[in-house]
Amino acid sequence: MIMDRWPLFLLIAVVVLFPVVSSSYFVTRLAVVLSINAIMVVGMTLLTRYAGVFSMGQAAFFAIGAYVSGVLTVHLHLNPWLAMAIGGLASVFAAYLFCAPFLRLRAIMLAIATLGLATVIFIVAKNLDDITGGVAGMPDIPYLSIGSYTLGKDWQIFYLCGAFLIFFSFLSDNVGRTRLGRAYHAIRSNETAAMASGIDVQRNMRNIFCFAALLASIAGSLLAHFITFISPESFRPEVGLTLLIVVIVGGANIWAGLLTTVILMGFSEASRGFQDLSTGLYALLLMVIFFVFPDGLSSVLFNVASAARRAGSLYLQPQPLPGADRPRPREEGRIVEVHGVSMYYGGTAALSDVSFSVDSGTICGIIGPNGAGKTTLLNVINGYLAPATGKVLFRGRDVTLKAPHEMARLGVGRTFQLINLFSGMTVIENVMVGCHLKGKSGIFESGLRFARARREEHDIWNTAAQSLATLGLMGRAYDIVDSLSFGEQRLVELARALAMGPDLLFLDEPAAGLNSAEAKRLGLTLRAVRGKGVTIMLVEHNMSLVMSVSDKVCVLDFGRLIACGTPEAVCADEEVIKAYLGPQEAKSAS
Amino acid sequence: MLLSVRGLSAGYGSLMVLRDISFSMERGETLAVIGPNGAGKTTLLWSLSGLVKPKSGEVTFEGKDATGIDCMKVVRLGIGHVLEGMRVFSSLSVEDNLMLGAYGRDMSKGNIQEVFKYFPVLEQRRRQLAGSLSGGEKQMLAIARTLMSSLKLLLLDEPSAGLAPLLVKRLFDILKKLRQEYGLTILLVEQNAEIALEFADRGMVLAQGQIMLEGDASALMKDKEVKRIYLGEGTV
Amino acid sequence: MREFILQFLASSLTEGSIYGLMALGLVITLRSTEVLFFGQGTMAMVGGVMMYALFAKAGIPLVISIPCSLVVCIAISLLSLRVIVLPLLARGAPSLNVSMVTIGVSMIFEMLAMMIFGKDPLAVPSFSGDNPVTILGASFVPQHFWILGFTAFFLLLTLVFFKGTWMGKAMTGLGDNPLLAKASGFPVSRLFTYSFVFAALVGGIAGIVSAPTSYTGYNVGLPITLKGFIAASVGGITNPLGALLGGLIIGFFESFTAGFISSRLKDLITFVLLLLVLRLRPQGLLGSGH
Repeated sequence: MIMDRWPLFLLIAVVVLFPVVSSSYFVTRLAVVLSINAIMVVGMTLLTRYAGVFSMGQAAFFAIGAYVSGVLTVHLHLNPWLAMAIGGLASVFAAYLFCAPFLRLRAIMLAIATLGLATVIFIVAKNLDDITGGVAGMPDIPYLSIGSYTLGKDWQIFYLCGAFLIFFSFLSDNVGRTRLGRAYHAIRSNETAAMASGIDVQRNMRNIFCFAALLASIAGSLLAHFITFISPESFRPEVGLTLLIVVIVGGANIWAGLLTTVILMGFSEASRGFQDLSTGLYALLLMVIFFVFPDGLSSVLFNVASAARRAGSLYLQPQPLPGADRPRPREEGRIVEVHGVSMYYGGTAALSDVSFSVDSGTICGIIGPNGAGKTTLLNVINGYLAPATGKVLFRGRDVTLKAPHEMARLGVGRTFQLINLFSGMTVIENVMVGCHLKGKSGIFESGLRFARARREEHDIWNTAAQSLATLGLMGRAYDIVDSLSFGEQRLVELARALAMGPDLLFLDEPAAGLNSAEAKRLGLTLRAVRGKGVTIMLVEHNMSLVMSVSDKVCVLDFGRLIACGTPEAVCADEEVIKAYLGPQEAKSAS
Repeated sequence: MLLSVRGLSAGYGSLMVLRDISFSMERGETLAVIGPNGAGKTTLLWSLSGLVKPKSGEVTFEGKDATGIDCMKVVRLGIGHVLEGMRVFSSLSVEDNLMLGAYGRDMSKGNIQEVFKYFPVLEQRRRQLAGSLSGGEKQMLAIARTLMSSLKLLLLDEPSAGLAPLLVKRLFDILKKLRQEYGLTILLVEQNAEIALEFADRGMVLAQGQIMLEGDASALMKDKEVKRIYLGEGTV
Repeated sequence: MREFILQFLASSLTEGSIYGLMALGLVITLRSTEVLFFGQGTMAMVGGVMMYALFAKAGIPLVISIPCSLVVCIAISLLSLRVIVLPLLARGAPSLNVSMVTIGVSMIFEMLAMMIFGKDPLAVPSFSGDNPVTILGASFVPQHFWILGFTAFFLLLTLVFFKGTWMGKAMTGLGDNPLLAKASGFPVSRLFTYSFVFAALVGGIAGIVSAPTSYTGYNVGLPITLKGFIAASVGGITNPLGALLGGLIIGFFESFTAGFISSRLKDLITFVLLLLVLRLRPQGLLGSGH
């Protein structure tokens, strides 16, 4: 485990030893500035590389933290630590306000909105002369002190900033490796599938955005108490832009981001002599890096992620969870009821007054020609679409307007027509996302590895491993999911849905692309799943599969339900044959 | 022989959709490709028209190698691809959509008059925005676009999808007329087996990326095997 | 009072025209390649500094120096397209990342311009002298007419191009349904090239005609790209005419803020406007829901 954490120990060593080794005034000051920037980068790495939110506006929170610290300590003579805390709160509040309207925007519009935010804050700082000192700046900011020990010397401040950096790096790295980190990755990789696994996308994105804002704010406060003078110049929107580029180039994990910060920013600060060229050379350097390593430096320099995966192999065998194999209490009655559901696209009716019900613990197949509305029906019941008319009941409760992640919470699992796996994660990590709802720890709990968080992580791993073992995929658990064959990927998706422990499972064309042997195996698996008490609704074109496993088959054509009954009855139904093969066939069949 | 396909395999990323497909088409004949969803029918057309590069195999058109060539060259050879889903340029007029069907090649207005002969409803709506057309009209427009420059082989992807039966009949009547008039060679992908086999000379049943059955269209219509592959009676 | 209002309207028009031109360039390249080309402002910068070099320093007449400057702009635009944008897109890089990389492009050219021309603002003389002309109580200098003239010209050119030429229509189709365009055999690569040439012309002209009224220099690129982007967002990020309209709106709000409130808050209003539009109508005033 120590080997796994080597970048953290390296960082600690560097921070502790640096002032001892270096005696240059200039270099120490540079190191402080770098560590302050690095704190911001840590937050942004989680935000951008993990959750996929491109924020060009961290300078806004950097400014808020710095100015709140400055104003409260200079004008109101508040304790600097208290001021820092208030600054942090103010930034988180601002971030929270910003999220509500803007987080739903398309990625590039969101990025521009964040830049807009940073610019607005910048202009406000420049113009509130009475409070912020305007363009002239705010001088005489006091140093931070611990008790009676003033942190006024550069090396002292460096240790302080270094301590914050180590703390936040440790925290963020832990978050990245555990449940929330996987959730962010899932959101960035495939929002639809993330929602189906129970992840509340909006809430998670908001939380990580506020976290990044908090870090930027603390960095700003630290800057204020370091230079003891702040002016709007330090908080130009370009600062956020530059750091964003560092994060993009730096790559997918915290440590690579830190290294990149040191390289790129150290370079640009150190070349103050060529200051004018430095911007352009900096740009050139980052473009070269981007071209050669499109995934960022981390793909080459660090593979801490893979180390974590290997570390996971310490949990060699899945241990049966207490009560996991307890047979589910046999549920009676209808688990899903659909009443008069209609859905329109433009002028056409995608679904037309569809009504049927599914009994608990059965397999219901949904078939119909292309464009009949099968996937639309699934999407309506699952919560991705709201019907124009009609109701959907789950265990007697009206769930018509519930969102997918809420349905997941109620016990509904889903696989998709096109493979909706999370690219770039291992097989077991993909399945572990399915267990997202088993954990409740927030950013700080996961980050600081509280006992509850560690336990949740273990349980999640266990459940995922069990699910994989059931489908015979344990051997591929630590492979990147993209390297699996199509048939295996389909099974991983099924494993993920099963890991959720759903009571109702929607499968959208699970046999598409499978050959007949794989399809047969799938059929057996589905029967086994039903045996555990799970209800399955199955959209399929592979008729032999549908007919052999289903207890009941519903047929859609042009959005209308044209038949609903046992497989034998449906096969012989004239209307069904007509829908698929044409009226001639129907006549010849009768 | 107009088109010859040998050992064609194609897919997306690691997913191999078509496996070792071989068939050929004579000038003037209509070949219907039917089969369940996910069989690879659309992928077949995409790999012939340059939207997807085949992983292996050989395609020969009019005696010249046409394997994996890009879309521009394909169109120049006289192969027109009508995509699935009634795709048109919604923000351009019907007339513009048609004229752009010959973009970069012979754009004389003469062609459009010919096309209007077969699709009078398009002439009525020539100045309307294509986005405002009904589904059936959009489908006609999508097909008409390919007729704007010398068309030798027409690749049709599920022209009946989403259209009411009456419209489908009307559409296929027009296609029959065109075929007769121009001696068009047509490779028709369809979900609706009856319509397809009634229209075609030969048929090919694709399932799970491979050719399961092929032969004379009218013979296939009566073949119980086809029904089995579609409705899965018994085991696959 | 009436004079003030007219004066501000006048400056709205001229400033708004520049923003509109920048927005137009951004929208054209965005629609065809789906990449937000941050080098748009670089075109303006290059246009401006080239005019400084050719017209101001070397005294080469307008008839030659304007086209020459435009040629340089086009060269840089195509260089960015071929060397950066197309290869990255071909490799499957997401368009957002590619957009971010084009920031680097603008920074590099900024550095080059700084190395060649220094850091001081550069003055370019007005094309037709500086005698103010008074219309309805508002004062115009001849350069303003150049600005308005070129903007009107490009407005007309855009309309004619997109509604009247096959290439323009093909580009509209490309933005509408890229798959169909490809399958129809459109020369997609060539269409990209033409859209970048158009963006270079529009950006370059914006820089060229505005250089005499406000100083030009190595660092005018990024801020004006940003204004252009805001203008495009406000007016309709999918619509070329919307882009021009957006520019005028931004110009209007900026002028009136500067005149009636405070010139220091001029930029603030622009960004607040941006945030408002993104909140209330993300696709812009004339944009279509995306």
